[in-house]
Amino acid sequence: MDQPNRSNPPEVIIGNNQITFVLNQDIYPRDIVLKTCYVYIDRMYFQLDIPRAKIITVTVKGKERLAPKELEKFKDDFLDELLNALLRKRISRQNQKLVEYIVGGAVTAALEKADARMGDTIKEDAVDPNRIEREIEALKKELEEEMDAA
Amino acid sequence: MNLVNKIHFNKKLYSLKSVETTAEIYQEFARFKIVNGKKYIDIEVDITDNEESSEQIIDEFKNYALLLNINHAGN
Repeated sequence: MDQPNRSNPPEVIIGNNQITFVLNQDIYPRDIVLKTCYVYIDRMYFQLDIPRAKIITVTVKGKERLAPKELEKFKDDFLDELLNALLRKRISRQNQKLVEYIVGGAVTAALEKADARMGDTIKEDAVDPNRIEREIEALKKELEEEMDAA
Repeated sequence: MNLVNKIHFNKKLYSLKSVETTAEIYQEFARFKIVNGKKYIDIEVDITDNEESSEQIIDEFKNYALLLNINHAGN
């Protein structure tokens, strides 16, 4: 009977102030690995490689010299952050349609409101077509009165 | 004393442009010779400094090149 394919856990080699993670790209895609490196790039030195198909290696060195315990903690944190990034990607993919609907709805509503406002202004002008003429007459009258007074 | 170090960047992860830009930025600390190979970008780093600071320059160089690639990938 065939055994189901089991993926090995990520291989981690801890050395002198240095850790190497050997990751399977089927589980940890390249963008996820890059995102995770970005989180720690101000504290650690990184070099990445793809030595063979589907395998990505991340070599990490502490900017400050790290004790074995600190390296061990970093290893756990890095692996957690990888999962965190994976989960965030999955959630954002799942919610993508929902976000598009909400943003689309908000934009449509804002445009409709703006159209309605423009319509009201045009309507106001349309209610009294003689308003401009009356205003001109009133201005003329005012000017004549001023001239008479002078 | 001049120290010559070698760095190899996998082209699937590091673009030639990003490596060249990084070399331009770090040229005041070292001389770089970039060879664009088939699978790797090979860099010879010639540093006129002590071993410790040359190691730091190389590590900083690697981080900067990675950062440019992360930003370019839209992360």
